[in-house]
Amino acid sequence: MANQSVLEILEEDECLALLDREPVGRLALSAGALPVVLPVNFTVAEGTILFASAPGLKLDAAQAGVVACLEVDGYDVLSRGGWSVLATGRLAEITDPQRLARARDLPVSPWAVPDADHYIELPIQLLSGRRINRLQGGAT
Amino acid sequence: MKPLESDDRSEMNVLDVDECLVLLRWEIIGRLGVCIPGQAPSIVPVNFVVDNATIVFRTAGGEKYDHLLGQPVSLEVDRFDWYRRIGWSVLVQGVAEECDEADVAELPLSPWAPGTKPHAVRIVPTSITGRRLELTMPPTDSRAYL
Repeated sequence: MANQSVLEILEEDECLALLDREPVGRLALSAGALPVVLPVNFTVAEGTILFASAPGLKLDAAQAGVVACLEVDGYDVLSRGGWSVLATGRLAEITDPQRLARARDLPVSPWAVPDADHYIELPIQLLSGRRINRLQGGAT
Repeated sequence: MKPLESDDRSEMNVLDVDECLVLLRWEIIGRLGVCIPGQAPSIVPVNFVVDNATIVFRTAGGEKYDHLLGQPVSLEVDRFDWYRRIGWSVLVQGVAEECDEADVAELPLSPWAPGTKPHAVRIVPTSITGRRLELTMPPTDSRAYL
């Protein structure tokens, strides 16, 4: 069967709009040379990706300033189409008191982790996105 | 719509391997996490199937494929309900291996992305872990309704 789809590269502003719309993304980082992919409840504020974390893998990575990426996607099983956006940067813990105070007002508390009082940012250094569009109809 | 502030009304539970495999078998899209040494980690959505507790997906050839083989990789799947703030996620960690075409010919693998994907890759898991966030029972009122 011919694969009736086309791949579209998304513009940066469309990638940002999609990032802005999604409440949950997946963070990938290297932990002991192994890639780990973790869902995070994040938001985009002040041009950076922001999320809260309790002590653990993500906070350790932020304090070490490791390079990580955050992915968001959406897809439709019926039309076999979808999109994904990948943002890459260097993780950092937010320690500036003013920024911390602003971060605490953002809707980024991890679900079921009430003691997550550290805030981590992923400044977007690279941003890319793609969409798979299914071609309608087909050859006659 | 503002989500329920349910941080104190939901709890995190750990899934066992069998539960994770059941969830994996239901899903057709996973996120492949790759950390090539000296490069930034990346995540790519892939169409995958579960084959005897391993993960199989197809990919195009080229540099990406060459870097993948023999490397530690992750596959993540999840479902979340933003309004209720519940959901689950499963993480498979393992090593990517080349597959014999004959071994995977019968598998229902049909990538959505355009172009030919001549190579089948198998992730042989070294660990399969999962978590489920669920609502705890709401406090019951001792004054029953009926």
